[in-house]
Amino acid sequence: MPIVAQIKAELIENTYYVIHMTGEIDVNQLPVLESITKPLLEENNVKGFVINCSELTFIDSKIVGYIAYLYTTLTHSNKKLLIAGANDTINDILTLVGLNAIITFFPTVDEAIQSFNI
Amino acid sequence: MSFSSLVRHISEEVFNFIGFGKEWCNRLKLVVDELFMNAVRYGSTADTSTVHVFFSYNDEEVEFSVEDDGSGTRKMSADELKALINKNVENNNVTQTSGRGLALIAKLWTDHLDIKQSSFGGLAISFSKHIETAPPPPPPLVQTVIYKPSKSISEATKESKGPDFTVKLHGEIDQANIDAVTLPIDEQITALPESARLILDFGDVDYINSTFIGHLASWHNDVQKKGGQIVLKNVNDQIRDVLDLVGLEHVLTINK
Repeated sequence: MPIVAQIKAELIENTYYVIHMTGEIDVNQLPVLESITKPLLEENNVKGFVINCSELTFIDSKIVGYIAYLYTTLTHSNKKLLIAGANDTINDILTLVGLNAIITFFPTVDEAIQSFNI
Repeated sequence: MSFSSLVRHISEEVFNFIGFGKEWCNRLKLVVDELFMNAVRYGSTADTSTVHVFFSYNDEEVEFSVEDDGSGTRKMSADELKALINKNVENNNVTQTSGRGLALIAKLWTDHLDIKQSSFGGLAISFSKHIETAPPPPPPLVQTVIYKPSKSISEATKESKGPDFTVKLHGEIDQANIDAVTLPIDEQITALPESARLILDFGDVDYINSTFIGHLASWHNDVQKKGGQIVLKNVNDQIRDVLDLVGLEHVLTINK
């Protein structure tokens, strides 16, 4: 049985947001993803987002497009977007469309967060 | 479980059972998902419509089709959508309703994409794919690259302080010519001065494959590290659709 789709934002060290995306996230969940993440883009103290994909099993093109939107918006504010824990399927989708070339991938959320401090 | 999830799981089971490799199962599952959701969102009405999904296969290939009753917001006929996808129709209003970007992806990843009128009243969109047990080949695409320094469009970018360099691309960029196209650009980017703009002129380009899209994204990063910028110029609607589909339209600077 597929894991129930779930999206959560977690503030770490008052500086980074980890966006936990769980299960199958497709266009049906896009409004939720937008409503959770868009307000966070405005927060000045935040240095960047990490999308935690370790429990993510599927994304469609709308979500890929939204991840690219997040990347662009954050980059324009000198913030970062990182991806952590993507499995082969998610990696394949992101790689196929070339996002792996512009967004840095990390094996784990911890490693992604550590990279903010380097 | 949502219908979209159910259809994805069924399709994955089917493609796996038929003998597709894991990577192809994932790709085709995405294609099925995109086509199915297009039918649900634009070709039918919630709660009252039925969307029909068909799989068939033999020893050599699989065929998938999805049919809707046409009661949704999509206003295009099969021929119109087909013509659009085949680059013969320009209509700026159809992006939201036709899913043409998705159809383009389906076209890139499948052997044959067909769109016709459905007996259920709407559209029947189908694809076939030769059974692939091995991982997908690298992406398809281009021909010749002519490099020449140019100052002709330097006025367009006020934020750029450095010089402009233009690379003019030609024809269809696919796997057959990808190296011939990208290697000179790689070299150009390596030699690019700080804060320079690299202008890629797509005026004569009809098609780019996904490998080339990956290169574009990579070049964007490389040039940005040098404080410069990549500008895509004279991009036609079809290529813009593909860039939009993968989200790069918002990342790259694109001038018509």
